[in-house]
Amino acid sequence: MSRDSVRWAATFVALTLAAVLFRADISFVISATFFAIFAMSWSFFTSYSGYLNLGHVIFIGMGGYTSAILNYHLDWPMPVSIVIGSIVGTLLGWLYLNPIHKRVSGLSFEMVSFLSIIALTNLVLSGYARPLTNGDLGLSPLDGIFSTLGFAIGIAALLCLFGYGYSRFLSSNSGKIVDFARESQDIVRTAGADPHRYTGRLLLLSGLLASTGGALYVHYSGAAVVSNTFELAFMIRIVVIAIIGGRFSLYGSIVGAYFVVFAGFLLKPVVSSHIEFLIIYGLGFAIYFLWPKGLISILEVAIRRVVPGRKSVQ
Amino acid sequence: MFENVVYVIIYGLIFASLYGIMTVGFSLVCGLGGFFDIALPAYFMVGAFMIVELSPYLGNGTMLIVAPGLGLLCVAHYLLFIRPQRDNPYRVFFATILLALGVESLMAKFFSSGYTFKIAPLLSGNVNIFDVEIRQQLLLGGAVGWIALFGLRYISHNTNIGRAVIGIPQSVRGSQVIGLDVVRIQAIVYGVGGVLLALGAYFYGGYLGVSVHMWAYPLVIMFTITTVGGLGSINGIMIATVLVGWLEVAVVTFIDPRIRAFVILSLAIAILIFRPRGLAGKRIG
Repeated sequence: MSRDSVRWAATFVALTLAAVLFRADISFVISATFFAIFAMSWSFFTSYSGYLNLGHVIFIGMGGYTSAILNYHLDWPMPVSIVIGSIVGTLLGWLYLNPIHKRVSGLSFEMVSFLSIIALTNLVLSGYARPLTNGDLGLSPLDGIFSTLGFAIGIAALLCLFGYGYSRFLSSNSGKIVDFARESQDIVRTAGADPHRYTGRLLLLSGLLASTGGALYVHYSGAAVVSNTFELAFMIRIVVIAIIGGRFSLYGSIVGAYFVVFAGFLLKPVVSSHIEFLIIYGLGFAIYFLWPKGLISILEVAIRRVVPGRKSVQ
Repeated sequence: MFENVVYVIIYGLIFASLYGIMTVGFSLVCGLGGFFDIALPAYFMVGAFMIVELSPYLGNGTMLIVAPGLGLLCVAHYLLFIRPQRDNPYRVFFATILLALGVESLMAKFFSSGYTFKIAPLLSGNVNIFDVEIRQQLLLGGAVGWIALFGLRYISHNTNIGRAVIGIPQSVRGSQVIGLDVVRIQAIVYGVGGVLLALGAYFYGGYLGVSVHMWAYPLVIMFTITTVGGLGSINGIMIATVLVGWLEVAVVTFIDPRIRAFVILSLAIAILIFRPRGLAGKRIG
């Protein structure tokens, strides 16, 4: 067995144990896993390609809304809606963002992706899209997925499966080319390869997980509304989770998601929501300043003390 | 129809000036440093609340305290949070997102998040121009905004510091070689940007009300104007702000108010994709 497969199997066991231990509050475990899915898929493209993608929720929203429209308007069975939603969401998001990332980079790409999600939110809420999206009210009720231990383990399996696939991609020749392209696209071009071809693959894989997560998430939430798909606040939450966990690590997104969701879980009964967010964002700010590589770097140091000579994880 | 056209022209110019003064600091900082400071729109909201809180005590003199106060706050923000990491645009971006969200949460603790506060106007009553009723306060805001923008344009073309602000984005290393103190110039831009943010907060908040979520739309506007005009260009800001102001009011008047952001943002996205340097700025990305 490869080192990656052992690591991701161990991560799956850890997430399953967390689900069993917190069975009474299984909805928090599921929320944390969903955010881990979104943050990991975002981090996979953003951290390894060097393009800061602020339009990642386009995948989530396209997947979520496609699945919701099929289920709500056409009465398609939920599993079929989710599968088609995931595929359509991935393709639409990729067909939009891939040509843009080929054409612009750096600050321009950040701005285009950022402005795109606000434009899309505005379009989804507008009167023109209302017959399809139901505007502010969103599409509800949808056929729902319930908070069960089985579902928590199922999405943990999805997360770890993609995590394993991502790790394999990053250690493959394509991953190495992406690494070079992040440092200098000219080097890759000089070697006769098109860097965008490889970063485009990264975007496609990133979008596939995000879109699948989005399609599942709207059914889990029971509604497709902008606040759980396209909204800027949702995007920012994903970014914050990835930063807190550690942006350059796939495992960091999982750590960040569980940290933020469970910090909220612990703080909710004690303080108001504003103070809860203040504490979480304050902690995030402090963590980012003190440990720019995120919580995963602290965890790695702790693990290295227990298991000397262990290499850092991706 | 004629009234509507006049309405679009006048209101477009007024909002253009307000958006322009809100964006100057953001855009120049982007040009100088090559990073986005997301905390600036949050300070815009802080400035509006400072005006709400202080105006019962200071009356018409409120802005004399708030404008320099916000300028100093922005300079302190630069020295504390931005300067140590200004060479890493991603770090600045992430840190300022967290900071902006923290500021919003903090303000929501002190001011009810679901409530919109009012700012007492300096001038009350309306003016009639070609049968279009315009609030005197808004007209004053538009005039102050345009004076500030043309003043900045004059300074940027006729003073050493202004030329430095425009020149540094062309080559930071070259600027340092000829002895320009980039940190000092960035701090000055933050200070001036803060003062203008306070002015924008006074007139914009006075028209639409003040709430803890009021920084989100200005953030979009700042991004759009910076994109359309081009980084670090005052001429670009002035052209872009007029385009955005007119387009926004025209969409609201002639098409559908609910798609105003979509139309403006589509313009910005198209410009970014097909002319990444903007209408009058240097090439970015």
